[in-house]
Amino acid sequence: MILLLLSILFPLVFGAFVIGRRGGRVGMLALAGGGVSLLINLATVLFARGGVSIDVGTFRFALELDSLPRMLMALAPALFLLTFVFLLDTGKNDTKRARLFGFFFLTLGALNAVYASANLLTFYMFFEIVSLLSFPLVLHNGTERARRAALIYIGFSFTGTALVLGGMKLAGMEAIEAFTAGGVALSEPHNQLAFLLIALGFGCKAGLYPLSAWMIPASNESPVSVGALLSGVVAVMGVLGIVRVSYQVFGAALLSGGWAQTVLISLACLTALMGAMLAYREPVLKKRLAYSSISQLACALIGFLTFTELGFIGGVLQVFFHACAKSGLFFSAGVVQEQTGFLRVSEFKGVGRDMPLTMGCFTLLSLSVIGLPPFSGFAALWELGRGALAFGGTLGRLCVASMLLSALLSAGAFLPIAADAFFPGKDFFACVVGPRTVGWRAMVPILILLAAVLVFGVFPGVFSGVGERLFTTIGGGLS
Amino acid sequence: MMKILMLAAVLLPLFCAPLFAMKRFRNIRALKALTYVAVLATSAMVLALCAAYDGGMLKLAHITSLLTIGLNVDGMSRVFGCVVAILWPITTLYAFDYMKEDHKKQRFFSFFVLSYGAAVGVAFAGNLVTMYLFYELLTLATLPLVMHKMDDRARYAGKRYLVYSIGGASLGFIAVVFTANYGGANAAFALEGVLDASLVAGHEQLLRTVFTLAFFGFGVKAAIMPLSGWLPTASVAPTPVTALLHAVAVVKAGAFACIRLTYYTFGTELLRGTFAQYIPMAAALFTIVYGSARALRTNHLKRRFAYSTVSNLSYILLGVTMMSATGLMASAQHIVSHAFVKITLFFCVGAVLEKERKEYLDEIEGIGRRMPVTFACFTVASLALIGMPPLPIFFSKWAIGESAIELATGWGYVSVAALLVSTVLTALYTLGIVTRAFFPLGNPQMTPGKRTETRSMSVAILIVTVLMVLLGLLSGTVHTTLAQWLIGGAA
Repeated sequence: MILLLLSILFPLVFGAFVIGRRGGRVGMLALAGGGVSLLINLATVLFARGGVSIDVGTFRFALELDSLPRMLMALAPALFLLTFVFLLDTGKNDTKRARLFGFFFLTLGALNAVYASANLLTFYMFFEIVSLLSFPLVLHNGTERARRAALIYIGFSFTGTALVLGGMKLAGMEAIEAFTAGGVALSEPHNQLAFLLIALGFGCKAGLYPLSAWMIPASNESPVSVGALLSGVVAVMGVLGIVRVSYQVFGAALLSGGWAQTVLISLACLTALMGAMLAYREPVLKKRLAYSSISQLACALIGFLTFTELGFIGGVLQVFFHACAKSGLFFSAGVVQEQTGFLRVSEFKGVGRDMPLTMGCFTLLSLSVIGLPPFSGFAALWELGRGALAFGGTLGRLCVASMLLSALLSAGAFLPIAADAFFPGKDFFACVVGPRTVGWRAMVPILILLAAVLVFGVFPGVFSGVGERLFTTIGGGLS
Repeated sequence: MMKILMLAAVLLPLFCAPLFAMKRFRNIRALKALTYVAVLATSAMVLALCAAYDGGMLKLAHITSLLTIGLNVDGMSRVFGCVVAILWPITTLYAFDYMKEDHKKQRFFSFFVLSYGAAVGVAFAGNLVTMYLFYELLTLATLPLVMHKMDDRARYAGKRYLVYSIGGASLGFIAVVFTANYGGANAAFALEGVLDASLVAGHEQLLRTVFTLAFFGFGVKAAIMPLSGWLPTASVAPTPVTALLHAVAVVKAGAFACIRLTYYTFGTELLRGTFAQYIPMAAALFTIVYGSARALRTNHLKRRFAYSTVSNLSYILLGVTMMSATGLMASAQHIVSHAFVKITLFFCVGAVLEKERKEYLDEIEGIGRRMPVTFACFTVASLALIGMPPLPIFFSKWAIGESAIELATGWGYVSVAALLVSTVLTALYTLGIVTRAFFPLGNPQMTPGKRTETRSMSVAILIVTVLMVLLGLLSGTVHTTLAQWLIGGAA
């Protein structure tokens, strides 16, 4: 319990401390803080027992770590730590770095609270707090456009939470009291509608179609480190929300075969396709990455929503690998941007000759996004496809088709960048990149992420084992 | 004994007020002392009464056989009385700082105390006639406060306020006449209504029409659409007035009067499921969304929060129009929670206005560095207004939504949807301000960082913020207390 509270409070306190700092040492300070935070989180995942709860009237706020978010709890601070390493050598001209780091920590603290929330009400509360604390990150660049992006972000966030709130009201008090394996026995007559509302609300963060538009400006107008965070952690939190409500509040028994499930899966298919299609025709790289995130997470959602074991495993793999690969891609894009100022895909011609390592990593990571073996994306896609087929019916086949099509479109979105970067063509001979200004430390996180994507792509068993166990524990007797 | 105390609580401020006007004060100290004594003594009495009154109706005068003036403290009186009694002294603290450089302090505080008396009178009124009387007095007592600056805008605002309020009250008067003739103006407020069933029989439609008119009449003060025009204009008044009267006392008196009218006079039996329920409900729903949307479109800070008040008052009215025990509970809870949250917000905006002379949204870029306490409190209050748990409005909004879902008709679901739309708009119009205050465009190091807050203002702001947070954390207790007061503990 103490560990659990420490994992939440340490980043919050440290963040508040960092915000007030001035001067250049803040990068190292953040690195140290991030390391400590990672250790605390790992200790929490391994050793934390018990929880706390406070009753306010009939409402209960409770924190206790169950099995579902443990993996995320270890992953999130690791990604933050890599972000801090990346920031050591990039964006050094930024005078507001202390603020950036500070809000990274605050977001991390709130995220840990989201992971540790033991009922829907608490989850909802900290979910809102994460939106609020990550809001200054989107705002960070301090331009008019960044401000607009941030307001769009917050507007969508609150639309999402309002939908969740509406769904919670419809579902009644039983729904918000505790997360239970297999779901709570709900008595209200509007369960399907309530579930749909809540899932759409959390889906807003996960980039599910009608409410996904915030992700593009928010990723584009903020620093790349923030873009990586939004795709890799914040959006994943939305997926966690949907898994929580579908498996641990409403329960597969209630939802399986219901109209809400059909609607949501169709929406996820649509999102996967549209995201990939929009990524394909998007000229600005960071936006393209954001669209691709939307598509990828929609694939994971399809897996979770089928309520099949294979789908669940595929979803877990997809979430994890997406977080790694997409963060790596954002970082590589950031390195190129820092070095050359290039933002548009069309400008990347020939960049690979001068920045072979960065563009090499970019290419390999994008292969994982596309889903080619031996990269991890393939393993995820494979399980997801099998899950969808196990789900069966026209909808299942539709899911498979949309996943394959979106993988194909991803190939169309990312491979030409790599091809142009390395093979600019005969009529291209100008040297575009000046002497290297970005330090080597920015490459460290990219390489680590690439290694993770590769190693776990070859040995996906670790994660599919985790997924399998999770499915049996939280599914509550599903087969 | 208790009855005398009750009379004293109403009369003390009413008598102190002329004293202010007559006596010439040499220095500000004496004025300050007298105001504090009057306000604190009244608050102490009101709180004591709310805690322990059990005496029944005190009849003061028989005007005719149909018209009796009388005071009483029942459950709903306690709700309104407590809110007023807690917030009035804090506003006094704030007001003295705010009005420091004003030359017409004496007049201001005279009417400030007078309106306290009127507000307590509204709370403690034992029947509809008495409430009507104090309600009119409240209008008149607060008019000079609205017009305080006496420039063209202030006088225009005052005139507008007067026309709307008197017009509304005259609609309310129709209800007074009808209840008198149908058996009730004399009778003490009772939860199931005071009309005589045998007289009502056969005239239900007429009475429902009268109710609807009177609901909108009293709804003027609660700023229900289409009668909300006076409130945003009235924000030219000095901020203590806007904060206390136009977020708490006056406007809540309007909502309070609507509750008295609906639950304690006509009774929900007569009204439930008819046009007399649905027309006010539709108006409240429209106002909720309209108010929030207008708030988002308004760049003047005080007017923005005036529109926000318009929207939030209709949350209360929406609870009222649920015409159920849970609806009554929910609206009472929202009266309390919104009072604390909105007064905090207005105090902060007022501090900006008074200390930095900034009125508009685009003037406050980066102000958070110069007024950190103010804007920290402002942020907390904003989150509360949006409905973040565990701050108070989350619970009252939840209660309103729950009572709406209990209706189990389309109206209920539309109500929930309206609440949610308004939540999103609220997030945008409050966080837009927070964004500008703390995250200015460009480089924040360039803006000067000298503190411009003053101590006593910050203290007042801190007190209301702490009270607000406590209210949220104790909302379980608040809920049971309200249930005990209003519906005898059944819930």
